[in-house]
Amino acid sequence: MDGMVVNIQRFSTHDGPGIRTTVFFKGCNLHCFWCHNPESIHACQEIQFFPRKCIGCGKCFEVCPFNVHEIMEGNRLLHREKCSKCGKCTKVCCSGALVMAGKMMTVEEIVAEVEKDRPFYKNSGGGVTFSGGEPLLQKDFLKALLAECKSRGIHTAVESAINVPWKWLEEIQPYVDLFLVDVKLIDEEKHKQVTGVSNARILENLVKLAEAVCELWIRVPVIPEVNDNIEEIGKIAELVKGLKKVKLIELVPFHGMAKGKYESLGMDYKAADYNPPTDDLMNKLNSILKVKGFTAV
Amino acid sequence: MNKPLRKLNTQKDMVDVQRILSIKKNAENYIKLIENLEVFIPGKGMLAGKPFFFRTFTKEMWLLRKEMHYGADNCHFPMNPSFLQYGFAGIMSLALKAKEGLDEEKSAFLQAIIDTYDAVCKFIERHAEKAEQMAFSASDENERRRLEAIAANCRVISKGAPQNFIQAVQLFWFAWRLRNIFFSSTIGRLDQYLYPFYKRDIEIGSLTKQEAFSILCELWENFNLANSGDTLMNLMVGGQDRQGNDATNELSFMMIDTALAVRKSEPHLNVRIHKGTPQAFIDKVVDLILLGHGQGTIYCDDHLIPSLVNHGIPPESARNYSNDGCTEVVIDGESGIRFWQMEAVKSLELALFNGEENVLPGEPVSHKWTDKMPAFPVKTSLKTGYRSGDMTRMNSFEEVYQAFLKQYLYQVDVFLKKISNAMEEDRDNETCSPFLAGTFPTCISTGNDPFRGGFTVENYQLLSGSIPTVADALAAIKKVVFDERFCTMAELLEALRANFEGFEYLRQKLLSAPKFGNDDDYVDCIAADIAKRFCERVSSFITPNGKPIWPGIYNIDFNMFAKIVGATPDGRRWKDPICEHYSPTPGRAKSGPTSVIRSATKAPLAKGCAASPFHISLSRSAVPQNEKGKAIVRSLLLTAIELGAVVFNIAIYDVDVLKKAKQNPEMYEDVIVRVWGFNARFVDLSEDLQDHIIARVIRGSE
Repeated sequence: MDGMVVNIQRFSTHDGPGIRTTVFFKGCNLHCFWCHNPESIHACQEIQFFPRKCIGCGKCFEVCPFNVHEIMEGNRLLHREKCSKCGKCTKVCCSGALVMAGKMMTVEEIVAEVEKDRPFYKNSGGGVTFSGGEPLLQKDFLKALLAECKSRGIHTAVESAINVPWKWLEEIQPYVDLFLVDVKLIDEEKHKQVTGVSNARILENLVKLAEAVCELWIRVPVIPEVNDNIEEIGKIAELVKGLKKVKLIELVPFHGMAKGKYESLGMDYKAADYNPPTDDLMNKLNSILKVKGFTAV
Repeated sequence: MNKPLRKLNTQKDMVDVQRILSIKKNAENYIKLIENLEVFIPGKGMLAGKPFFFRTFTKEMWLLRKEMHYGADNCHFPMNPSFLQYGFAGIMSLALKAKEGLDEEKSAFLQAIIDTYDAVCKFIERHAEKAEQMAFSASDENERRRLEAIAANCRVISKGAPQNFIQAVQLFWFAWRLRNIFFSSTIGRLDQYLYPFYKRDIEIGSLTKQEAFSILCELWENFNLANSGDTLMNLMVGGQDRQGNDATNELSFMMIDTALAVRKSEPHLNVRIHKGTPQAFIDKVVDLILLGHGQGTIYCDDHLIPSLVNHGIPPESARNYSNDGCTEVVIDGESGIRFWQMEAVKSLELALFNGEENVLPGEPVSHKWTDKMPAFPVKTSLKTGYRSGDMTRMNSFEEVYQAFLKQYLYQVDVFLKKISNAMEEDRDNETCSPFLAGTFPTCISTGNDPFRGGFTVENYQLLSGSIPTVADALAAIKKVVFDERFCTMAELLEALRANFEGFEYLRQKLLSAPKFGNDDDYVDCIAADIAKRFCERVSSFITPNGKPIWPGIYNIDFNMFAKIVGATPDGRRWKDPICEHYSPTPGRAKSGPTSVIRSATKAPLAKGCAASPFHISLSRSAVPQNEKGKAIVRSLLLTAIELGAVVFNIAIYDVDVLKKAKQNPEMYEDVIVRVWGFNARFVDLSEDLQDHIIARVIRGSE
């Protein structure tokens, strides 16, 4: 069985306990305007173009059947509207200026990669994390991977927005040691505005997940003008408190480093002018969590 | 140096007049120097003895410096701690007794030691006198007591052995400082040397832990006042004792605490870890590593000791190893060290051009050790003209690889013969600084110079050069020329001759071939094979006296050698960095530190008993200074050892800080980094080295 993967990152230290390997799936059913991994939003392959790496060799011109590549007045242009994403240009580009985001990989290939760091998992309490994008959108592929890793004694984690049918989550649950779930906002209307979808199903699933056997970590991306204030964080903390099982909420501050990725994909980055929350603000928000009884991260 | 006019017969009954003259001159010069050194009592603290003399040198002393001959003492190995057991006065008595009935040369040798140590004892005594005078005129009661204590300590050690911990530290400080006042030297297993004094004092209640810690901090500050950077000041803590029991003691812990408190570049701390090392000690080491300075280079007893034994070193001695001025292994108190460096990447260049060097574009090359020092011209020490084969006629990667090995191993053989000759030369002609020689008990009991039996273990090493960069180049040839048939060897050589000018596409193609440090067998296995063959070639070489030459997978002058190798097939241009030791070429490890460790441990690193280190340079954002960061460092450390690492160093840098430090050095004077076998203040390094270290930070470790 195979699935569309955007990256496999070894030595992940922010995606669960210990030293982990994170497999990033391609495709997401949320469209958070601040997303740090825009190359994982669309399910299909897409071309990334990094003009600073271009050495002007002209090979992409030569192989492109659709005249997508052009130089106009010294500027390197990419006419995405003409591009069929055949990938021929990415195969001849050696400097890394043209890269295909997304690759079909089999369960065997992925597990072989994950196995490489097994000695490190053992010594650190680490393992594998499936993230993305939204890994649940390729549920059968995910399930096969989880089952295989579990049978090999590797600790498994799934990072998900859980905006999927509960029975999908139920199906993969027996193979998951830890769920990492992002909660952005409590207010449904606001959630829809900033992510494109309602949070009703997410919150329902969260309650059910909290009653399941697996461990559950909650993370809150702190985004300017969205939830970077005491009121919103306080509401989330109240909700999570009600879940009883969760002792830890991790606040993850927004960073603007994804700008280059959006440009490389020809996507509009609505958070381009946003600044990361200050250390001061993060300390304030973390102390709210502490007051509500949560451990600080 | 006084070289004889003819090659000598080495039989014991032949006396070399030149050697005797040399021995006497060594002592005379030493004594003249010591007699003129400034006597210094500090304004606070307990340690007498000036850290740094240069400012008070007379013109005569500067002239004397040129005449000083240290011989076997290149400062790259620890003194034997026997002076702590006997005191210098005690060694003088032993030497006097041993002199009886010995031949003229041995007698002269021991007399030189006696005379030198007499001057040392008098020098220490002058400190006692000065402290007493200062005490007499002290206005404050506490101050008077402090000065009287200093005086008392100096009196004791000027006449005999130290009687307690503070006196032992005081004597060690004097000894270390006097060994070579123009430079600094290796410290050794100080936790082992001082422990018996510490233990007894604590047990009888005459010393508190706080007092001991305070003295160590003072000693550390003195070391930093003495010198900073490539100072050879390596200190080894932990490990096993001669019988194989765990020797990690309270001082091992306390010395790490001292490093954590003082936070400067000196001394460079090294840690021996073995199966029996207490977990609490490993946690302590993790704390030190977490600081980020690259302090706490790890040495793995369980891999290194068996390899030393395989090289003919007796197990009890092998268990007593420590390290030299950089990362190479020495036997503490039993050996010196001499080492030679192979140029692996240059060997590849010679192989590519059938025995000739590539023409370098641009002006003749010069190099500076630091920006403050003068530049000097550089050229290769390899022999050109050895025809390993015309690569343009080769039709398979296997042929190319064999040609490289032919050239590389030829150059290795040239070095092995050179070293072999040096062993004989040393034994026949060299004399040693009497100060250093006198600390070695075998020198005293037999009257033998270190090179003529005073060192009970001989330590001659050949270091491999930058094998990972060579592997990158060979893997690129394999992929681009032979697997993909993208270009021919002739076209590749043309591009190298042009330093890739006009060949940028090809260069990018070569750059995108597999690179060492990313856990890719395609290139890692090539590196591992070269490392294995190097070690085996060196280990199997039979020297005239039957003593082995120790192989090390290592490279000291990578920064300098990068300037004399032209463009290479890995996509590297002239002057672009080559790697140090068995680490990835800077900038090429993109899959995080676990991949680097995997790549490195595919080689039989333990075969390189001289040391086969690799560096891990992590980004601070991945390894914060908290419990999480500790857990990460601990896992990397323990797993690296499990996978077969022999020596490694983990440093943690904030790249932004390093870049800012380049721009505004005066604001970043406390930033300490790891260079090749030592730690230094980042702002003191040459720009080349600064860039090399910034490029070293592993991608995929953010």
